Amino acid sequence: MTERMWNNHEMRSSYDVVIIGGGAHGLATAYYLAKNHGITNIAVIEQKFIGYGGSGRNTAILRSNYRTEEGILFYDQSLKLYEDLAQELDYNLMFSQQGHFTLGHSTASMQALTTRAAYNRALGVNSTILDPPEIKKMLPEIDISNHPRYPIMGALYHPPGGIIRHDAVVWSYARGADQRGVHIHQLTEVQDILVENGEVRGVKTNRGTIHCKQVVSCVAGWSSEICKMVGIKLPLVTHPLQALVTTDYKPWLHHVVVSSTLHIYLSQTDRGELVCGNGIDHYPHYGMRSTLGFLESYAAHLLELFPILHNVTVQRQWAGLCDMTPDYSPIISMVDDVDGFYINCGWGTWGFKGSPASGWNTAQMVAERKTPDMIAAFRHDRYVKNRLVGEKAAASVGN
Amino acid sequence: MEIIVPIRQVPDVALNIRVNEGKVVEDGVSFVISSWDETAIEGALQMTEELGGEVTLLGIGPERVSEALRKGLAMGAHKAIHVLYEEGQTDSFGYAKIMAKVMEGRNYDLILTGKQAQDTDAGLTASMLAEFLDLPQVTNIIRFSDLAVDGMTLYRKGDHGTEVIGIKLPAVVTVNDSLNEPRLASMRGIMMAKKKPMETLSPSDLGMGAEELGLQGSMTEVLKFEKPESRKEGERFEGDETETVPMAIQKLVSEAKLAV
Ligand SMILES: Cc1cc2nc3c(=O)[nH]c(=O)nc-3n(C[C@H](O)[C@H](O)[C@H](O)COP(=O)(O)OP(=O)(O)OC[C@H]3O[C@@H](n4cnc5c(N)ncnc54)[C@H](O)[C@@H]3O)c2cc1C
Repeated sequence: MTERMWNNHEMRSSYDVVIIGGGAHGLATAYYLAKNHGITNIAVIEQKFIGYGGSGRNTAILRSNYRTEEGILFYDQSLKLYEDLAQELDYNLMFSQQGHFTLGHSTASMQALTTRAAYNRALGVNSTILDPPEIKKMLPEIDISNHPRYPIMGALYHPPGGIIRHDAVVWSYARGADQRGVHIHQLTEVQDILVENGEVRGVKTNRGTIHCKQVVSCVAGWSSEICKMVGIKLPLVTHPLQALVTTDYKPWLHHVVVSSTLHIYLSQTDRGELVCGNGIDHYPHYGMRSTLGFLESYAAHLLELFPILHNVTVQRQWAGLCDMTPDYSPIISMVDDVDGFYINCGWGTWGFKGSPASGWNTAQMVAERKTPDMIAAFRHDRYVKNRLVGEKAAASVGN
Repeated sequence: MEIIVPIRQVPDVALNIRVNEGKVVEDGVSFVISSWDETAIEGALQMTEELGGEVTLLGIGPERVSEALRKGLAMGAHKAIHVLYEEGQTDSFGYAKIMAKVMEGRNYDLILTGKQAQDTDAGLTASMLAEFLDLPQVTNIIRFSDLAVDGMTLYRKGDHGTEVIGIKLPAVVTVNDSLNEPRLASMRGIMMAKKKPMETLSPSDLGMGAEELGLQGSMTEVLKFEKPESRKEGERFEGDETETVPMAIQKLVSEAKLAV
């Protein structure tokens, strides 16, 4: 008999901690609660199946070349955790640190990229600026001529950036948590959160009520719905984000390439497919519908960068939900008015890379009931205190 | 060879279809080209690649149908006709009637389409169209050969073998999905599709009045949709088989009413 990655359990009537959402953030939080803090009486509640949300739909670009000190340090911690994760979870995550290019097509964007490189280096993150001939050396197929509408003027190059196999991250965190006693309940939807006298008492699900004193919401694109249950309003707007994968080709692209001016990015997997995406759909929506408009704009912009790809065929396209925050930084926070409720969201188009550090620090916050320094800047009340952590320049299409 | 390929846009069957008060909920549903029609597009492209000529797609339905047509153009079809049609429920007879009107005065050698639509599975439209146009028809082909502008040989799949049929053109032919593996759109194809001609017509452009459209123009009416009942979860018996086998048999007798 094949060994199961994780087990099904009877649902207990009470747990110490209930985590809503079986994506990478929820599962990593459960895993680190068990591993780092010895808290194992935990339920992860997932409405569909684990990895149903963004964690199973993303394009798996990992990097830490952000713009703010808070962002750079947080994503750097995450990337370092990722570097050891395959070993730690005993699972081949196919993490390939192949280097990450952010192309600049205007003087303004080159200035922004240069500032980012300086901030990165000051905080020990490897980032440099390359000129077009240097780019061409590493990406021989790219068009650096001045024929395209937006000629390439340079790039921010970030050697530790790369891609990973996203499903494997989800599955291996699930297995790691399960092995330590965490219960994963799939096909279970949280319909309400029970709060009495400002304290969390449990959650109501379609399979019955669970009593608990701590609830962590890790539902990304569905966060506004969960927060409504406890009466908190966050400045989150959910937008769809689309991606596509081509048929497979012999390996030719050995780095991740992003252009925020053209709103596109691409990488090549070990299987040879090109994984491609662009910016969010401009309308807020909970539908995960693929559109022809996305294909058309992607094709036009891709061929500007790589004219040789005109015969490449599209195999499949899909969409996921992104919980966009005004400053393009996450919200990882306790909530003063509801004791025992924690929010982990605001992962937008960029959150997969944050999963390990997010799980690590959320677990610490839940275990110690206080905010770790690493995530102090990501509290939810920063929006009323005017303490935004502005990452738009570094997060939008860059994923 | 001039080929017209009528295509139908259907809800993506890979997704969970929701039914509310007897109607399919369209909100949030992705629409795709019915898979047999994709096979027809591929077949038509192969024929024109061999003999020259153009493939014209024909789609009938609301604005969203233009996406299906553009996807077909991205595969390589040359032009498209979109009958912008918002009349709601229409049966195969109603659609065949509209198609027949579109064909009036057009130059074509072949009408090639899927043997049935993926959503209704009715398989009637093409035959009715052939009847309206008074053309020969062959359904469910799995192969073609001896291509020429005035005729070809068709291989038609039946339950007990294959019929080999010679046909004179013009004709109406429907395809089985084993005819070919439809090509995927390339990046260049997707870009070029935007620039290919798409003719948009309304039923009144075709000289059709209200009595020929929607339910009035149909001979049947779908009263409601019902989703199949979801299956009850099975039961697992774990442990030693000397205990679990009798337990399972006991259940089969008491609940499934199996006679032993
Ligand atoms: C197309 C696309 C490409 C992306 N590319 C990248 C990239 O390259 N790099 C990167 O870093 N990030 C990327 N992202 C963003 C990234 O995918 C997300 O930020 C991240 O996966 C969020 O993880 P999560 O665990 O917080 O949420 P999710 O993985 O979305 O999981 C949330 C889970 O909560 C469940 N849920 C919701 N409501 C309930 C309820 N009421 N009860 C129970 N369960 C519930 C959902 O079913 C879901 O499984 C991309 C996103 C998309 C859509």
